[in-house]
Amino acid sequence: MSNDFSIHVEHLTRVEGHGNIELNVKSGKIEKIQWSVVEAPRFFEAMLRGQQYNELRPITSRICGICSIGHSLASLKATEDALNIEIAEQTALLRRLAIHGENMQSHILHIGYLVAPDLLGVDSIVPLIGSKHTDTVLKIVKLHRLANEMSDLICGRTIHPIRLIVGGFSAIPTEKQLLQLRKRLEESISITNDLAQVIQSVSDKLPDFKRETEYIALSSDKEYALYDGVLNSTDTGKFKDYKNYQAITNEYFVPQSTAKYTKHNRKSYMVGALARYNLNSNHLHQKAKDVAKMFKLKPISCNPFMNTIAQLVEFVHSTQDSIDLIDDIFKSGLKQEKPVKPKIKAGRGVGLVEVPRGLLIHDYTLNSKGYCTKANCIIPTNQNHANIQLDMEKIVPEIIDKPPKEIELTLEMLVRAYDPCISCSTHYLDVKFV
Amino acid sequence: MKKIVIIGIGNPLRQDDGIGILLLEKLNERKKDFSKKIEFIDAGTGGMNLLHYFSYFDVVFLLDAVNFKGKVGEVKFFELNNILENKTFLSLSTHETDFIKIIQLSKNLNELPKNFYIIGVQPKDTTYGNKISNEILKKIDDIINYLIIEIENKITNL
Repeated sequence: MSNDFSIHVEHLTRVEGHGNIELNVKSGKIEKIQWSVVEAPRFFEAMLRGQQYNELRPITSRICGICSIGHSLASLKATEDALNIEIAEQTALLRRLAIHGENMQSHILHIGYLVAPDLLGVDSIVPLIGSKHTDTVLKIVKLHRLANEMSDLICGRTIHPIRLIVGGFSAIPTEKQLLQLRKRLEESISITNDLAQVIQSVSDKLPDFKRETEYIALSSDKEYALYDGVLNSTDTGKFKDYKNYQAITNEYFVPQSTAKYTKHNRKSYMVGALARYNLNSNHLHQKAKDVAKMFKLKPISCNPFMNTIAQLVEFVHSTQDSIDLIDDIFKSGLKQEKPVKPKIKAGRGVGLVEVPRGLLIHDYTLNSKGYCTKANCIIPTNQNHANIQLDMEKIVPEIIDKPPKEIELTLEMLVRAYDPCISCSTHYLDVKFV
Repeated sequence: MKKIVIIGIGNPLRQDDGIGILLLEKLNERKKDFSKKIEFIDAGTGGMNLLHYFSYFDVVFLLDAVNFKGKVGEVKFFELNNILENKTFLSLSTHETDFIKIIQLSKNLNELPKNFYIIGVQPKDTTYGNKISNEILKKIDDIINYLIIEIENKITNL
Protein backbone atom coordinates (compact mmCIF):
# COMPACT_ATOMS: atom_id res chain seq x y z
CA MET A 1 0.00 0.00 0.00
CA SER A 2 1.32 3.44 -0.91
CA ASN A 3 1.89 5.85 1.90
CA ASP A 4 1.52 9.60 1.47
CA PHE A 5 1.48 11.14 -1.95
CA SER A 6 -0.34 13.73 -3.92
CA ILE A 7 -0.90 14.25 -7.62
CA HIS A 8 -1.71 17.65 -8.99
CA VAL A 9 -2.00 17.95 -12.73
CA GLU A 10 -2.56 21.57 -13.61
CA HIS A 11 -3.67 22.34 -17.15
CA LEU A 12 -3.67 18.76 -18.40
CA THR A 13 -1.99 18.54 -21.81
CA ARG A 14 -3.36 17.07 -25.04
CA VAL A 15 -6.91 18.17 -24.23
CA GLU A 16 -8.61 21.36 -25.36
CA GLY A 17 -8.81 23.99 -22.66
CA HIS A 18 -7.82 24.00 -19.02
CA GLY A 19 -8.71 21.30 -16.52
CA ASN A 20 -6.96 20.13 -13.34
CA ILE A 21 -6.65 16.75 -11.63
CA GLU A 22 -6.03 16.58 -7.89
CA LEU A 23 -5.42 13.49 -5.77
CA ASN A 24 -4.28 13.41 -2.14
CA VAL A 25 -3.45 10.13 -0.42
CA LYS A 26 -2.49 9.99 3.27
CA SER A 27 -1.38 6.77 4.99
CA GLY A 28 -2.68 4.90 1.98
CA LYS A 29 -6.12 6.47 2.37
CA ILE A 30 -7.65 8.66 -0.33
CA GLU A 31 -8.43 12.08 1.08
CA LYS A 32 -9.35 13.91 -2.08
CA ILE A 33 -9.97 13.10 -5.75
CA GLN A 34 -11.10 15.99 -7.86
CA TRP A 35 -11.54 16.82 -11.53
CA SER A 36 -11.99 20.56 -11.90
CA VAL A 37 -12.49 22.94 -14.77
CA VAL A 38 -10.81 26.28 -14.36
CA GLU A 39 -11.70 28.05 -17.58
CA ALA A 40 -13.22 31.49 -17.36
CA PRO A 41 -17.00 31.24 -17.74
CA ARG A 42 -18.21 31.85 -21.28
CA PHE A 43 -20.96 34.22 -22.22
CA PHE A 44 -21.88 33.04 -25.69
CA GLU A 45 -25.59 33.03 -24.92
CA ALA A 46 -25.40 36.70 -23.94
CA MET A 47 -23.67 37.48 -27.25
CA LEU A 48 -26.57 35.89 -29.14
CA ARG A 49 -29.25 38.02 -27.51
CA GLY A 50 -30.22 40.96 -29.71
CA GLN A 51 -28.84 39.35 -32.89
CA GLN A 52 -30.98 38.72 -35.97
CA TYR A 53 -31.92 35.10 -36.82
CA ASN A 54 -29.41 34.85 -39.71
CA GLU A 55 -26.52 36.10 -37.54
CA LEU A 56 -26.87 33.35 -34.93
CA ARG A 57 -25.20 30.67 -37.05
CA PRO A 58 -22.04 32.67 -37.93
CA ILE A 59 -21.58 33.71 -34.29
CA THR A 60 -22.03 30.22 -32.84
CA SER A 61 -19.68 28.74 -35.44
CA ARG A 62 -16.91 30.68 -33.67
CA ILE A 63 -17.59 29.05 -30.29
CA CYS A 64 -15.33 26.13 -31.18
CA GLY A 65 -12.52 25.54 -33.66
CA ILE A 66 -13.19 21.81 -33.72
CA CYS A 67 -16.98 21.56 -33.60
CA SER A 68 -17.78 24.65 -35.65
CA ILE A 69 -19.79 22.61 -38.17
CA GLY A 70 -21.73 20.94 -35.34
CA HIS A 71 -22.46 24.30 -33.69
CA SER A 72 -23.54 25.66 -37.09
CA LEU A 73 -25.95 22.77 -37.64
CA ALA A 74 -27.42 22.89 -34.11
CA SER A 75 -27.86 26.63 -34.60
CA LEU A 76 -29.54 26.25 -38.01
CA LYS A 77 -31.83 23.51 -36.70
CA ALA A 78 -32.88 25.69 -33.74
CA THR A 79 -33.46 28.72 -35.99
CA GLU A 80 -35.38 26.71 -38.59
CA ASP A 81 -37.43 25.07 -35.84
CA ALA A 82 -38.37 28.52 -34.48
CA LEU A 83 -39.32 29.77 -37.96
CA ASN A 84 -41.04 26.51 -39.09
CA ILE A 85 -38.68 26.07 -42.06
CA GLU A 86 -38.68 22.72 -43.85
CA ILE A 87 -35.36 22.16 -45.62
CA ALA A 88 -34.99 20.34 -48.97
CA GLU A 89 -33.93 16.69 -49.11
CA GLN A 90 -30.63 17.55 -50.81
CA THR A 91 -29.84 20.07 -48.06
CA ALA A 92 -30.38 17.36 -45.44
CA LEU A 93 -28.05 15.00 -47.35
CA LEU A 94 -25.33 17.65 -47.71
CA ARG A 95 -25.64 18.57 -44.03
CA ARG A 96 -25.17 14.91 -43.16
CA LEU A 97 -22.00 14.92 -45.28
CA ALA A 98 -20.83 18.04 -43.43
CA ILE A 99 -21.29 16.40 -40.04
CA HIS A 100 -19.43 13.30 -41.19
CA GLY A 101 -16.56 15.53 -42.33
CA GLU A 102 -16.35 17.12 -38.91
CA ASN A 103 -16.70 13.80 -37.10
CA MET A 104 -13.80 12.43 -39.14
CA GLN A 105 -11.68 15.57 -38.63
CA SER A 106 -12.17 15.58 -34.89
CA HIS A 107 -11.92 11.83 -34.28
CA ILE A 108 -8.69 11.34 -36.20
CA LEU A 109 -7.22 14.36 -34.46
CA HIS A 110 -8.04 12.83 -31.09
CA ILE A 111 -7.03 9.28 -31.94
CA GLY A 112 -3.90 10.20 -33.89
CA TYR A 113 -2.46 13.31 -32.30
CA LEU A 114 -3.75 13.17 -28.73
CA VAL A 115 -4.22 9.51 -27.68
CA ALA A 116 -1.71 7.64 -29.89
CA PRO A 117 1.28 9.17 -28.00
CA ASP A 118 -0.04 7.57 -24.76
CA LEU A 119 -0.35 4.18 -26.43
CA LEU A 120 3.06 4.43 -28.14
CA GLY A 121 4.80 5.70 -24.99
CA VAL A 122 5.82 9.19 -26.13
CA ASP A 123 4.87 12.74 -25.12
CA SER A 124 3.66 13.86 -28.51
CA ILE A 125 3.35 12.72 -32.10
CA VAL A 126 6.33 14.86 -33.20
CA PRO A 127 9.17 12.48 -32.15
CA LEU A 128 7.43 9.57 -33.88
CA ILE A 129 8.60 10.84 -37.27
CA GLY A 130 11.88 9.14 -37.99
CA SER A 131 10.98 6.26 -35.67
CA LYS A 132 9.47 2.91 -36.65
CA HIS A 133 6.07 4.62 -36.45
CA THR A 134 6.78 7.15 -39.23
CA ASP A 135 4.37 5.40 -41.56
CA THR A 136 1.62 5.53 -38.94
CA VAL A 137 2.10 9.29 -38.50
CA LEU A 138 1.92 9.79 -42.27
CA LYS A 139 -1.34 7.84 -42.36
CA ILE A 140 -2.81 9.90 -39.52
CA VAL A 141 -1.87 13.14 -41.29
CA LYS A 142 -3.29 11.84 -44.59
CA LEU A 143 -6.64 10.91 -43.02
CA HIS A 144 -6.84 14.22 -41.14
CA ARG A 145 -6.05 16.12 -44.35
CA LEU A 146 -8.77 14.25 -46.24
CA ALA A 147 -11.36 15.03 -43.54
CA ASN A 148 -10.31 18.70 -43.54
CA GLU A 149 -10.55 18.99 -47.30
CA MET A 150 -13.94 17.26 -47.25
CA SER A 151 -15.21 19.84 -44.73
CA ASP A 152 -13.74 22.61 -46.87
CA LEU A 153 -15.50 21.27 -49.96
CA ILE A 154 -18.95 20.92 -48.38
CA CYS A 155 -18.88 23.93 -46.06
CA GLY A 156 -16.68 26.38 -47.96
CA ARG A 157 -14.10 26.36 -45.19
CA THR A 158 -12.25 23.73 -43.15
CA ILE A 159 -13.65 25.24 -39.97
CA HIS A 160 -16.07 28.09 -39.18
CA PRO A 161 -18.18 27.16 -42.24
CA ILE A 162 -19.66 29.79 -44.54
CA ARG A 163 -21.90 27.84 -46.93
CA LEU A 164 -24.28 26.56 -44.25
CA ILE A 165 -27.10 29.09 -43.99
CA VAL A 166 -30.69 29.24 -42.75
CA GLY A 167 -32.88 27.21 -45.14
CA GLY A 168 -30.09 25.58 -47.14
CA PHE A 169 -26.67 26.23 -48.68
CA SER A 170 -25.27 29.44 -50.16
CA ALA A 171 -23.16 27.32 -52.55
CA ILE A 172 -22.65 23.62 -53.12
CA PRO A 173 -19.81 21.49 -54.52
CA THR A 174 -19.84 20.48 -58.19
CA GLU A 175 -20.57 16.95 -59.36
CA LYS A 176 -16.91 16.55 -60.33
CA GLN A 177 -15.74 17.60 -56.87
CA LEU A 178 -18.13 15.18 -55.18
CA LEU A 179 -16.94 12.35 -57.43
CA GLN A 180 -13.31 13.13 -56.56
CA LEU A 181 -14.20 13.16 -52.87
CA ARG A 182 -16.00 9.81 -53.23
CA LYS A 183 -12.88 8.30 -54.83
CA ARG A 184 -10.62 9.61 -52.06
CA LEU A 185 -12.97 8.32 -49.37
CA GLU A 186 -12.92 4.86 -50.93
CA GLU A 187 -9.13 4.90 -51.11
CA SER A 188 -8.91 5.96 -47.46
CA ILE A 189 -10.66 2.87 -46.10
CA SER A 190 -7.56 0.67 -46.41
CA ILE A 191 -5.46 3.39 -44.72
CA THR A 192 -7.91 3.51 -41.79
CA ASN A 193 -7.82 -0.27 -41.54
CA ASP A 194 -4.01 -0.18 -41.37
CA LEU A 195 -4.22 2.43 -38.60
CA ALA A 196 -6.76 0.29 -36.76
CA GLN A 197 -4.29 -2.63 -36.88
CA VAL A 198 -1.56 -0.46 -35.33
CA ILE A 199 -3.86 0.75 -32.56
CA GLN A 200 -5.09 -2.79 -31.98
CA SER A 201 -1.48 -3.94 -31.51
CA VAL A 202 -1.04 -1.52 -28.57
CA SER A 203 -4.63 -1.59 -27.26
CA ASP A 204 -3.50 -3.53 -24.17
CA LYS A 205 -2.31 -0.11 -22.94
CA LEU A 206 -5.97 0.92 -22.59
CA PRO A 207 -6.86 0.18 -18.96
CA ASP A 208 -9.35 -2.61 -18.39
CA PHE A 209 -11.70 -0.51 -16.28
CA LYS A 210 -15.47 -0.66 -15.97
CA ARG A 211 -18.07 1.51 -14.29
CA GLU A 212 -21.74 1.25 -15.11
CA THR A 213 -23.33 4.57 -15.96
CA GLU A 214 -26.10 6.05 -18.07
CA TYR A 215 -25.39 6.75 -21.75
CA ILE A 216 -27.33 9.44 -23.60
CA ALA A 217 -27.36 10.14 -27.35
CA LEU A 218 -29.71 10.79 -30.23
CA SER A 219 -31.17 7.67 -31.86
CA SER A 220 -32.99 7.11 -35.12
CA ASP A 221 -34.90 4.15 -36.58
CA LYS A 222 -33.35 4.85 -39.99
CA GLU A 223 -29.67 5.53 -39.41
CA TYR A 224 -26.75 5.89 -37.01
CA ALA A 225 -27.96 9.20 -35.65
CA LEU A 226 -25.68 12.21 -35.96
CA TYR A 227 -27.60 14.98 -37.75
CA ASP A 228 -31.05 13.99 -36.54
CA GLY A 229 -32.75 11.75 -34.01
CA VAL A 230 -34.63 11.59 -30.74
CA LEU A 231 -33.08 11.75 -27.28
CA ASN A 232 -32.33 8.27 -25.99
CA SER A 233 -30.95 6.85 -22.74
CA THR A 234 -29.61 3.40 -21.89
CA ASP A 235 -31.48 3.74 -18.57
CA THR A 236 -34.82 5.24 -19.49
CA GLY A 237 -35.24 4.83 -23.26
CA LYS A 238 -36.47 7.38 -25.79
CA PHE A 239 -37.64 10.86 -24.84
CA LYS A 240 -39.49 12.51 -27.72
CA ASP A 241 -40.35 15.87 -26.13
CA TYR A 242 -37.16 17.49 -27.47
CA LYS A 243 -38.19 21.03 -26.52
CA ASN A 244 -38.21 19.87 -22.91
CA TYR A 245 -34.60 18.62 -23.13
CA GLN A 246 -33.86 20.18 -19.71
CA ALA A 247 -35.70 17.21 -18.19
CA ILE A 248 -32.75 15.13 -19.46
CA THR A 249 -29.81 17.49 -19.00
CA ASN A 250 -30.66 18.95 -15.54
CA GLU A 251 -27.72 21.36 -15.42
CA TYR A 252 -26.26 22.32 -12.04
CA PHE A 253 -23.23 24.08 -10.58
CA VAL A 254 -20.43 22.56 -8.50
CA PRO A 255 -18.00 24.62 -6.41
CA GLN A 256 -14.80 23.28 -8.00
CA SER A 257 -15.64 24.16 -11.59
CA THR A 258 -16.59 27.09 -13.75
CA ALA A 259 -18.42 24.73 -16.13
CA LYS A 260 -21.97 23.53 -15.51
CA TYR A 261 -22.47 19.82 -14.76
CA THR A 262 -25.46 17.64 -15.75
CA LYS A 263 -27.22 14.51 -14.45
CA HIS A 264 -30.32 12.50 -15.35
CA ASN A 265 -31.24 9.07 -13.98
CA ARG A 266 -28.05 8.59 -11.97
CA LYS A 267 -25.45 10.88 -10.47
CA SER A 268 -23.92 11.31 -13.92
CA TYR A 269 -24.23 10.29 -17.55
CA MET A 270 -21.90 10.06 -20.52
CA VAL A 271 -22.26 11.44 -24.05
CA GLY A 272 -20.00 10.99 -27.07
CA ALA A 273 -18.89 8.23 -29.41
CA LEU A 274 -19.15 5.46 -26.79
CA ALA A 275 -22.67 6.58 -25.80
CA ARG A 276 -23.71 6.61 -29.46
CA TYR A 277 -22.12 3.22 -30.02
CA ASN A 278 -23.85 1.76 -26.98
CA LEU A 279 -27.26 3.01 -28.13
CA ASN A 280 -27.05 2.76 -31.92
CA SER A 281 -24.41 0.18 -32.92
CA ASN A 282 -26.96 -1.84 -34.93
CA HIS A 283 -27.09 1.01 -37.48
CA LEU A 284 -23.32 1.03 -38.14
CA HIS A 285 -21.95 0.02 -41.53
CA GLN A 286 -20.55 -3.49 -41.65
CA LYS A 287 -16.97 -2.22 -42.08
CA ALA A 288 -17.34 -0.19 -38.87
CA LYS A 289 -18.81 -3.21 -37.07
CA ASP A 290 -15.75 -5.20 -38.22
CA VAL A 291 -13.42 -2.68 -36.56
CA ALA A 292 -15.48 -2.86 -33.35
CA LYS A 293 -15.06 -6.64 -33.47
CA MET A 294 -11.26 -6.28 -33.82
CA PHE A 295 -11.26 -4.53 -30.44
CA LYS A 296 -13.92 -6.79 -28.89
CA LEU A 297 -16.09 -3.70 -28.45
CA LYS A 298 -19.68 -4.68 -27.71
CA PRO A 299 -22.68 -2.71 -26.47
CA ILE A 300 -23.05 -1.86 -23.66
CA SER A 301 -19.37 -1.13 -23.04
CA CYS A 302 -18.85 0.51 -19.64
CA ASN A 303 -15.15 1.22 -20.16
CA PRO A 304 -14.68 4.98 -20.83
CA PHE A 305 -11.21 4.30 -22.29
CA MET A 306 -13.03 2.55 -25.15
CA ASN A 307 -14.47 5.93 -26.22
CA THR A 308 -11.36 6.33 -28.40
CA ILE A 309 -12.06 2.96 -30.03
CA ALA A 310 -15.71 3.95 -30.54
CA GLN A 311 -14.37 7.06 -32.31
CA LEU A 312 -12.28 4.86 -34.59
CA VAL A 313 -15.37 2.75 -35.34
CA GLU A 314 -17.33 5.94 -36.09
CA PHE A 315 -14.54 7.19 -38.36
CA VAL A 316 -14.98 4.10 -40.54
CA HIS A 317 -18.78 4.50 -40.43
CA SER A 318 -18.59 8.18 -41.40
CA THR A 319 -16.28 7.35 -44.32
CA GLN A 320 -18.54 4.62 -45.65
CA ASP A 321 -21.77 6.54 -45.02
CA SER A 322 -20.36 9.60 -46.82
CA ILE A 323 -19.80 7.45 -49.91
CA ASP A 324 -23.44 6.29 -49.68
CA LEU A 325 -24.67 9.87 -49.18
CA ILE A 326 -22.84 11.04 -52.31
CA ASP A 327 -24.50 8.18 -54.22
CA ASP A 328 -27.89 9.23 -52.80
CA ILE A 329 -27.32 12.83 -53.93
CA PHE A 330 -26.49 11.62 -57.45
CA LYS A 331 -29.54 9.32 -57.56
CA SER A 332 -31.88 12.29 -57.66
CA GLY A 333 -29.37 14.49 -59.51
CA LEU A 334 -27.31 17.30 -57.98
CA LYS A 335 -29.47 20.44 -58.05
CA GLN A 336 -28.67 24.13 -57.59
CA GLU A 337 -31.37 24.96 -55.05
CA LYS A 338 -32.14 28.30 -53.47
CA PRO A 339 -32.31 28.27 -49.67
CA VAL A 340 -35.86 28.19 -48.27
CA LYS A 341 -36.91 31.77 -47.56
CA PRO A 342 -38.12 32.17 -43.99
CA LYS A 343 -41.35 33.89 -42.97
CA ILE A 344 -40.26 35.88 -39.95
CA LYS A 345 -42.31 35.27 -36.83
CA ALA A 346 -41.91 34.96 -33.10
CA GLY A 347 -41.18 31.51 -31.77
CA ARG A 348 -38.88 29.15 -29.91
CA GLY A 349 -36.75 26.50 -31.60
CA VAL A 350 -34.48 23.76 -30.36
CA GLY A 351 -31.76 22.08 -32.42
CA LEU A 352 -30.18 18.79 -31.33
CA VAL A 353 -27.15 17.35 -33.11
CA GLU A 354 -24.57 14.70 -32.30
CA VAL A 355 -21.15 16.33 -32.64
CA PRO A 356 -17.83 14.50 -32.18
CA ARG A 357 -17.90 14.83 -28.38
CA GLY A 358 -21.60 14.07 -27.97
CA LEU A 359 -25.00 15.68 -27.75
CA LEU A 360 -25.11 19.40 -28.58
CA ILE A 361 -28.25 21.48 -28.00
CA HIS A 362 -29.05 25.03 -29.10
CA ASP A 363 -32.28 26.65 -27.93
CA TYR A 364 -33.34 30.06 -29.26
CA THR A 365 -36.34 32.31 -28.69
CA LEU A 366 -36.99 34.85 -31.48
CA ASN A 367 -39.26 37.89 -31.36
CA SER A 368 -41.71 38.86 -34.12
CA LYS A 369 -38.92 40.67 -36.01
CA GLY A 370 -36.65 37.62 -35.96
CA TYR A 371 -34.27 38.88 -33.27
CA CYS A 372 -33.02 36.52 -30.58
CA THR A 373 -34.32 37.33 -27.10
CA LYS A 374 -33.12 34.22 -25.29
CA ALA A 375 -30.51 31.54 -26.02
CA ASN A 376 -29.20 28.42 -24.36
CA CYS A 377 -26.38 26.16 -25.56
CA ILE A 378 -25.62 22.81 -23.91
CA ILE A 379 -22.15 21.60 -24.82
CA PRO A 380 -21.21 17.87 -24.79
CA THR A 381 -18.16 18.22 -22.54
CA ASN A 382 -20.27 19.82 -19.78
CA GLN A 383 -22.41 16.70 -19.79
CA ASN A 384 -19.34 14.50 -19.20
CA HIS A 385 -17.68 16.30 -16.28
CA ALA A 386 -19.67 14.53 -13.53
CA ASN A 387 -19.01 11.18 -15.20
CA ILE A 388 -15.25 11.86 -15.31
CA GLN A 389 -15.32 12.67 -11.57
CA LEU A 390 -17.14 9.44 -10.69
CA ASP A 391 -14.83 7.38 -12.93
CA MET A 392 -11.86 8.85 -11.04
CA GLU A 393 -13.44 7.98 -7.69
CA LYS A 394 -13.84 4.35 -8.81
CA ILE A 395 -10.53 3.84 -10.62
CA VAL A 396 -8.15 5.31 -8.01
CA PRO A 397 -8.85 2.68 -5.30
CA GLU A 398 -8.36 -0.01 -7.97
CA ILE A 399 -4.86 1.26 -8.87
CA ILE A 400 -3.80 2.77 -5.53
CA ASP A 401 -0.92 0.28 -5.16
CA LYS A 402 0.70 1.40 -8.41
CA PRO A 403 3.49 4.01 -8.44
CA PRO A 404 2.14 7.62 -8.29
CA LYS A 405 3.50 8.36 -11.79
CA GLU A 406 1.49 5.47 -13.21
CA ILE A 407 -1.64 6.61 -11.36
CA GLU A 408 -1.14 10.09 -12.74
CA LEU A 409 -0.79 8.81 -16.30
CA THR A 410 -3.91 6.64 -15.93
CA LEU A 411 -5.94 9.62 -14.68
CA GLU A 412 -4.66 11.78 -17.53
CA MET A 413 -5.53 9.06 -20.03
CA LEU A 414 -8.99 8.79 -18.49
CA VAL A 415 -9.72 12.47 -19.03
CA ARG A 416 -8.24 12.39 -22.54
CA ALA A 417 -10.44 9.39 -23.41
CA TYR A 418 -13.46 11.71 -23.12
CA ASP A 419 -11.81 14.02 -25.68
CA PRO A 420 -12.93 17.02 -23.64
CA CYS A 421 -13.25 20.43 -25.24
CA ILE A 422 -12.99 22.33 -21.98
CA SER A 423 -12.71 25.69 -23.52
CA CYS A 424 -14.42 26.11 -26.84
CA SER A 425 -12.48 29.22 -27.70
CA THR A 426 -9.20 29.50 -25.83
CA HIS A 427 -6.71 31.03 -28.13
CA TYR A 428 -4.01 33.52 -27.37
CA LEU A 429 -0.46 34.19 -28.38
CA ASP A 430 1.99 35.17 -25.72
CA VAL A 431 5.52 36.13 -26.67
CA LYS A 432 8.36 36.52 -24.23
CA PHE A 433 11.81 37.62 -25.26
CA VAL A 434 14.75 35.78 -23.72
CA MET B 1 5.54 30.79 -59.17
CA LYS B 2 5.58 30.72 -55.39
CA LYS B 3 2.27 30.16 -53.67
CA ILE B 4 1.65 32.85 -51.08
CA VAL B 5 -0.92 32.89 -48.31
CA ILE B 6 -2.01 35.20 -45.52
CA ILE B 7 -3.64 33.21 -42.72
CA GLY B 8 -5.66 35.00 -40.07
CA ILE B 9 -6.12 33.24 -36.76
CA GLY B 10 -8.01 34.15 -33.61
CA ASN B 11 -11.46 34.20 -32.10
CA PRO B 12 -13.78 37.14 -32.82
CA LEU B 13 -15.75 36.14 -29.71
CA ARG B 14 -12.75 37.15 -27.59
CA GLN B 15 -12.58 40.81 -28.51
CA ASP B 16 -9.06 41.77 -29.70
CA ASP B 17 -8.20 38.11 -30.20
CA GLY B 18 -10.24 38.49 -33.40
CA ILE B 19 -7.93 41.17 -34.82
CA GLY B 20 -6.16 38.65 -37.09
CA ILE B 21 -9.51 37.78 -38.69
CA LEU B 22 -10.58 41.42 -39.10
CA LEU B 23 -7.24 42.40 -40.68
CA LEU B 24 -7.41 39.37 -42.98
CA GLU B 25 -10.82 40.49 -44.27
CA LYS B 26 -9.59 44.04 -44.83
CA LEU B 27 -6.41 42.87 -46.62
CA ASN B 28 -8.54 40.60 -48.81
CA GLU B 29 -10.61 43.64 -49.83
CA ARG B 30 -7.35 45.31 -50.95
CA LYS B 31 -5.81 42.29 -52.67
CA LYS B 32 -5.42 44.28 -55.91
CA ASP B 33 -2.76 46.35 -54.12
CA PHE B 34 -0.43 43.35 -54.10
CA SER B 35 1.77 42.63 -57.14
CA LYS B 36 1.49 38.86 -56.74
CA LYS B 37 -1.43 36.51 -56.30
CA ILE B 38 -2.14 35.90 -52.63
CA GLU B 39 -4.58 33.47 -50.99
CA PHE B 40 -6.44 34.58 -47.87
CA ILE B 41 -7.46 32.00 -45.26
CA ASP B 42 -9.54 32.55 -42.13
CA ALA B 43 -8.25 29.74 -39.90
CA GLY B 44 -10.10 30.88 -36.78
CA THR B 45 -9.21 28.71 -33.81
CA GLY B 46 -8.52 25.60 -35.83
CA GLY B 47 -5.18 24.69 -34.21
CA MET B 48 -3.95 21.53 -35.86
CA ASN B 49 -5.64 22.47 -39.15
CA LEU B 50 -2.77 24.92 -39.64
CA LEU B 51 -0.54 21.92 -40.35
CA HIS B 52 -2.42 21.29 -43.57
CA TYR B 53 -2.59 24.92 -44.65
CA PHE B 54 1.19 25.18 -44.29
CA SER B 55 1.62 22.21 -46.63
CA TYR B 56 -0.12 23.96 -49.54
CA PHE B 57 2.06 27.10 -49.69
CA ASP B 58 5.64 28.35 -50.18
CA VAL B 59 5.21 31.64 -48.31
CA VAL B 60 3.12 32.07 -45.17
CA PHE B 61 2.14 35.24 -43.33
CA LEU B 62 0.35 34.30 -40.11
CA LEU B 63 -1.71 37.15 -38.73
CA ASP B 64 -2.69 37.07 -35.06
CA ALA B 65 -3.08 38.91 -31.76
CA VAL B 66 0.32 38.63 -30.03
CA ASN B 67 1.09 39.92 -26.59
CA PHE B 68 4.63 41.28 -27.00
CA LYS B 69 4.11 43.99 -24.35
CA GLY B 70 3.92 46.67 -27.00
CA LYS B 71 1.49 49.55 -27.39
CA VAL B 72 -2.09 48.54 -28.13
CA GLY B 73 -2.43 48.16 -31.90
CA GLU B 74 1.34 48.02 -32.49
CA VAL B 75 2.34 45.61 -35.26
CA LYS B 76 5.48 43.44 -35.34
CA PHE B 77 6.84 40.91 -37.82
CA PHE B 78 8.43 37.82 -36.25
CA GLU B 79 10.72 35.46 -38.16
CA LEU B 80 9.86 31.85 -37.54
CA ASN B 81 13.53 30.86 -37.38
CA ASN B 82 14.07 33.17 -34.40
CA ILE B 83 11.25 31.46 -32.59
CA LEU B 84 12.54 27.98 -33.42
CA GLU B 85 16.07 28.88 -32.35
CA ASN B 86 14.69 30.12 -29.03
CA LYS B 87 15.66 33.70 -29.68
CA THR B 88 11.99 34.48 -29.20
CA PHE B 89 9.81 32.36 -26.98
CA LEU B 90 6.28 32.00 -28.29
CA SER B 91 3.40 29.99 -26.96
CA LEU B 92 0.04 29.68 -28.59
CA SER B 93 -2.80 27.88 -26.89
CA THR B 94 -4.63 26.88 -30.04
CA HIS B 95 -6.82 24.29 -28.38
CA GLU B 96 -5.45 20.85 -28.65
CA THR B 97 -1.77 21.38 -29.15
CA ASP B 98 0.71 24.17 -29.07
CA PHE B 99 1.94 26.12 -32.01
CA ILE B 100 5.56 24.98 -31.76
CA LYS B 101 4.42 21.33 -31.98
CA ILE B 102 2.52 22.10 -35.18
CA ILE B 103 5.59 23.82 -36.61
CA GLN B 104 7.86 20.93 -35.57
CA LEU B 105 5.50 18.39 -37.08
CA SER B 106 5.28 20.40 -40.29
CA LYS B 107 9.09 20.60 -40.39
CA ASN B 108 9.51 16.87 -39.75
CA LEU B 109 7.05 16.16 -42.56
CA ASN B 110 9.15 18.39 -44.87
CA GLU B 111 6.12 20.57 -45.41
CA LEU B 112 7.11 23.75 -43.59
CA PRO B 113 7.29 26.72 -45.98
CA LYS B 114 10.76 28.24 -46.13
CA ASN B 115 9.40 31.77 -45.96
CA PHE B 116 7.31 32.07 -42.82
CA TYR B 117 6.39 35.29 -41.01
CA ILE B 118 4.23 35.83 -37.99
CA ILE B 119 2.56 39.22 -37.92
CA GLY B 120 1.57 40.10 -34.38
CA VAL B 121 -0.79 42.86 -33.33
CA GLN B 122 -0.70 43.90 -29.69
CA PRO B 123 -4.17 43.34 -28.18
CA LYS B 124 -5.69 45.25 -25.27
CA ASP B 125 -8.43 42.91 -24.12
CA THR B 126 -8.98 39.26 -25.03
CA THR B 127 -11.77 38.43 -22.61
CA TYR B 128 -15.17 37.38 -23.96
CA GLY B 129 -17.00 39.84 -26.16
CA ASN B 130 -17.36 40.48 -29.87
CA LYS B 131 -15.91 43.99 -30.27
CA ILE B 132 -12.37 45.07 -31.13
CA SER B 133 -10.92 47.78 -28.84
CA ASN B 134 -11.42 51.36 -29.98
CA GLU B 135 -7.66 51.99 -29.70
CA ILE B 136 -7.05 49.38 -32.41
CA LEU B 137 -10.05 50.33 -34.54
CA LYS B 138 -8.84 53.93 -34.69
CA LYS B 139 -5.52 52.74 -36.17
CA ILE B 140 -6.97 50.11 -38.49
CA ASP B 141 -6.41 52.01 -41.78
CA ASP B 142 -2.81 52.79 -40.80
CA ILE B 143 -2.23 49.16 -39.85
CA ILE B 144 -3.60 47.95 -43.19
CA ASN B 145 -1.48 50.43 -45.18
CA TYR B 146 1.63 49.42 -43.21
CA LEU B 147 0.92 45.71 -43.72
CA ILE B 148 0.45 46.13 -47.47
CA ILE B 149 3.82 47.91 -47.77
CA GLU B 150 5.68 45.41 -45.58
CA ILE B 151 4.14 42.29 -47.13
CA GLU B 152 4.68 43.69 -50.62
CA ASN B 153 8.37 44.32 -49.76
CA LYS B 154 8.80 40.77 -48.56
CA ILE B 155 7.10 39.11 -51.53
CA THR B 156 8.92 41.33 -54.06
CA ASN B 157 12.28 40.25 -52.64
CA LEU B 158 11.57 36.53 -52.72
